[in-house]
Amino acid sequence: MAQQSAAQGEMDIFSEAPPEPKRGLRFFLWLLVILFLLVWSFQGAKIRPGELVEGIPQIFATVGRMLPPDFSKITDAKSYFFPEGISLTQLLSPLPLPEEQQRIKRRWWDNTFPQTIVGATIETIQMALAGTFLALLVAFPVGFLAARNTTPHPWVYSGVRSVLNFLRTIPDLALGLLFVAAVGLGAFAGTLALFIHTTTVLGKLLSEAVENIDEGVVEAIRATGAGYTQILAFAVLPQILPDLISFTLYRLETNIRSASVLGLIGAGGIGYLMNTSFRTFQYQEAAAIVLVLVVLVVLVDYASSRLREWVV
Amino acid sequence: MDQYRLEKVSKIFDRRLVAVDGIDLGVQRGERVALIGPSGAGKTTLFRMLNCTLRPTAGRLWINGDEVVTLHGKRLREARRKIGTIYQQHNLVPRLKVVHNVLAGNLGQWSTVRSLSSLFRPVDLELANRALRQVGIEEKIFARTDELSGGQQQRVAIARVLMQDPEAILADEPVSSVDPSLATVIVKLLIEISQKTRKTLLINLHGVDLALAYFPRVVGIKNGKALFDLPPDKVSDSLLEELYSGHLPDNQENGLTDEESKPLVYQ
Repeated sequence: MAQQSAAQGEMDIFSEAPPEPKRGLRFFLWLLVILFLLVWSFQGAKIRPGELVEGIPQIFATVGRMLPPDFSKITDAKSYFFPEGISLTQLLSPLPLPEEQQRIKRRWWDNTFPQTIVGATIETIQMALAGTFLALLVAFPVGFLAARNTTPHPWVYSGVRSVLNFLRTIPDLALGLLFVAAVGLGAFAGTLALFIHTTTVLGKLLSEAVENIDEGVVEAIRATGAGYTQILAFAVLPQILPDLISFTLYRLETNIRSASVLGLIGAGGIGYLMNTSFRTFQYQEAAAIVLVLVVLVVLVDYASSRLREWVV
Repeated sequence: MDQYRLEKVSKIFDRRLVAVDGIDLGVQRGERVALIGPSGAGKTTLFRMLNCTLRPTAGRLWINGDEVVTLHGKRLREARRKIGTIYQQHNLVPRLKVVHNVLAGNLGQWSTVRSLSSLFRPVDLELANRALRQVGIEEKIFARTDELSGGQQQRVAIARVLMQDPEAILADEPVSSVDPSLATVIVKLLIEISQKTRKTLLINLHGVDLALAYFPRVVGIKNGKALFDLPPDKVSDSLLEELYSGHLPDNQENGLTDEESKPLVYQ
């Protein structure tokens, strides 16, 4: 009897369990659609494993041609094309010189030095720093305008949001091409591209950070009789500051990488030299540039993660 | 003189959630009033209307003789400045140093430039020090606020109100998140402050005992209405039973006390 009721109890447990969901025709249809989409993409992407396997020795051969990396363009004084009629100390010191020598000095710094590996690397860093900084200046106010809870008016909110969203869809390489056409080849075009692209990304990230703050603090600060700017400074800014710093550092890292690619389209930075080396089959020299880039990126990553730990 | 006068004040969220339902209330300058009632009764919403961060949906509300619907911009901020609020969740800025949280009480009087410069280099340090001394944690002045215990943070919140030096103090369940022995200490501290400086004190309390023991006037709020408004010795057990009857813990509390949409910073 007791056993029976126990069995009954178990029966009840099972009867209370929800019915197994039915995988209807719809499910299989979706599966079919997804499968078709994948096959279609693989064809379009020309994925042919056989060729990859055959090509593996070719990869090794290319890597082999890159070894050992040729650092002579960095270490050799000859590749810096130091100008005649002016001493090395005069060239490197910031002190003013007689007119003729000053002209030579300027020309070297403006035209010759950026063509060297060291010069182009420094230019890459400068582009990333300048572009990120300008972007931060603009994105900071834009972030407040594009956040639902701090925008002065819903129209401003949607207006700024749509502009940000539109600009963000433009890849920074496309922006680079645009600015090369507008201001000519060189670092300025690349910096502008980084600036615009970074502004849209930072503006979006900041506005999201602003929308996620604790509103209780805002209410408490408002209840003291504080105005708009005071509320932003005392209740909003302290809450988003860690995000602000880490987003900016993160974008700085990304921009170092982007700045080295922008050289491919002639928008300044080390990418131009790297491309030239590969195109002219100077594989050992290209390897040296790649290594310089790797070291640079690792250093920036390390520095920014230390900075983040320190500030946040 | 009237600190507050309320005539049929109501607050309805989303056109359907009635948080406060036609409350009539008068509070004199310097009076001390405790509000009790189940959670979700509308006490917090009532306080948010009393400190001018929320406008009533219906009814009329006067503060110091000014009707709040007529207040805008500078005059609204001036009205807010004269009312100090202490929140259950403290609502301090966790990452700022204690000194900045206390000095935030001055924002209603400070110019924008002065407020911004204070974030870099605190001005009126002596005043902040004095406020913290009154609540007994002056040694924490340069500590980061989120490193303090719950009780200490509530003291910082009280110091912020002291700094603000308002005419009325609203304390919204100030002791719900501290342990019971500390609760009595903090309630006594608030009473002492209001007595010394003749400030009106309105307090929302979870603990009926504290309300009955320390306040000359107790208002029972239920379902957004005032059920009774009596001196503590007249509050009978049967009244209390009625106040809390049919109350399921945490029923719809969030639905009723939350704002319809998040408050906007720019108002």
